[in-house]
Amino acid sequence: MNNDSTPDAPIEMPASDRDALISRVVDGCASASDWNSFRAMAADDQSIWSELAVAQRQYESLSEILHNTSAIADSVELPGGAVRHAHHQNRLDFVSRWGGWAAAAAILLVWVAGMNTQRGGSMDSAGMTAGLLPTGAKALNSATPDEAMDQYMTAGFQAGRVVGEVPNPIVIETRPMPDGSFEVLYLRQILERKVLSEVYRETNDEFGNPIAVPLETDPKRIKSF
Amino acid sequence: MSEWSTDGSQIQAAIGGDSDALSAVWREHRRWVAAILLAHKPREADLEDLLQMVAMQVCRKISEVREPGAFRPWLRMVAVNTARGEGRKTTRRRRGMLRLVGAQGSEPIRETIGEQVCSEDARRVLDAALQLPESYREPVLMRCLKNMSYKQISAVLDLPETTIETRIARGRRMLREMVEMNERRVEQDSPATIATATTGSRR
Repeated sequence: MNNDSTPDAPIEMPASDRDALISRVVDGCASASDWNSFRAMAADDQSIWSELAVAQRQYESLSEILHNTSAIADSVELPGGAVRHAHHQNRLDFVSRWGGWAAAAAILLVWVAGMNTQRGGSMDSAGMTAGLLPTGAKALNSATPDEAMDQYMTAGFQAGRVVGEVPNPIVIETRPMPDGSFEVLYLRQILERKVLSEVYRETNDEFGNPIAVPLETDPKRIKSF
Repeated sequence: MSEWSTDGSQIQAAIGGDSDALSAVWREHRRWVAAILLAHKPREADLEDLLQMVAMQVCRKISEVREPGAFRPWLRMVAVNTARGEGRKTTRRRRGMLRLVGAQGSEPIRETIGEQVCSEDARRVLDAALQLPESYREPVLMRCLKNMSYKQISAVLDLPETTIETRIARGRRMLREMVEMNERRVEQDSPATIATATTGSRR
């Protein structure tokens, strides 16, 4: 076998014996003869052991990533089936990651409430902030998503928690379906208020790691933030 | 998994319009499709979105596959083209969305695969793996899929098994060198190193 293993070598050039042996050991498919060759090589140059350790660790690291991608892939069915909850949950995760202000757990609750109660057709927000609970209001566990959303808005408004819904939902994606219809993914934004004793700002430390920094809330020292 | 569980007849049925067969074929192949997408997608693009797009293309165009043996290389090309093309659109859409929700749009968009759960070490190795030449990147990543054999990888890439083994071995060698080089670079750029260098130069 050719011993040249530089990155710039032609693509089809064989891997060096050393690389091939390390690769086979990592894959768990080294034969007895491979192991004999490996030991003979290690007797001359012990650095092959550390190289093997690095290769093994990198394989484990990539396997960890590929394990995650497999989990994502397993949630994707061919189009035409039921709406995939996991798919939408991932979008929620994405949005909440980029929420910016990490004010206790309240922000996450806002998004959960927004995403878990998608309305079927109309994107009209009129009437959602109206005053009283409907007289025919159902228990939440038997209400449709629309009814539950209306109840949440009404009760939240009365409790001072919900300020209102931002008009004009944002269309994230429109996908044609095999039956000729369209699947529309859109973002509804509910404005809530909450009084908290502590709030945090998300920032990065000198190494780029995300950290939460408490905000100054003493009214004597600041007017607003 | 030394062989595929969906055989040629099932793929033929899928090509012929059998939706059950198509679902079975998709389920068996979607994991390596995800690996191919990972190998080619722009960092900002969402893997799940791309998988949905590939799934849509499979539904629409599988009838164009001329024979079962050509299915896997065809599916790979669909994934590669989807990652390269639609991935960029996804990036623009996402950036627009971030501004609209009032997030800090100036923050860098980071790799979305396992953002919350993957170790830093895994992320570093992935960064290096994505710098490998394409012909090495794909087999190296696919080999890390649970139980994906050289034979199966060779069927996807339409190359002899010996070539696959060679590319994986060489790709891993390049990966070791790249990670080592990246770590050395980070070490040189770290604040501690810079501080030491500054202190040293003052003496």
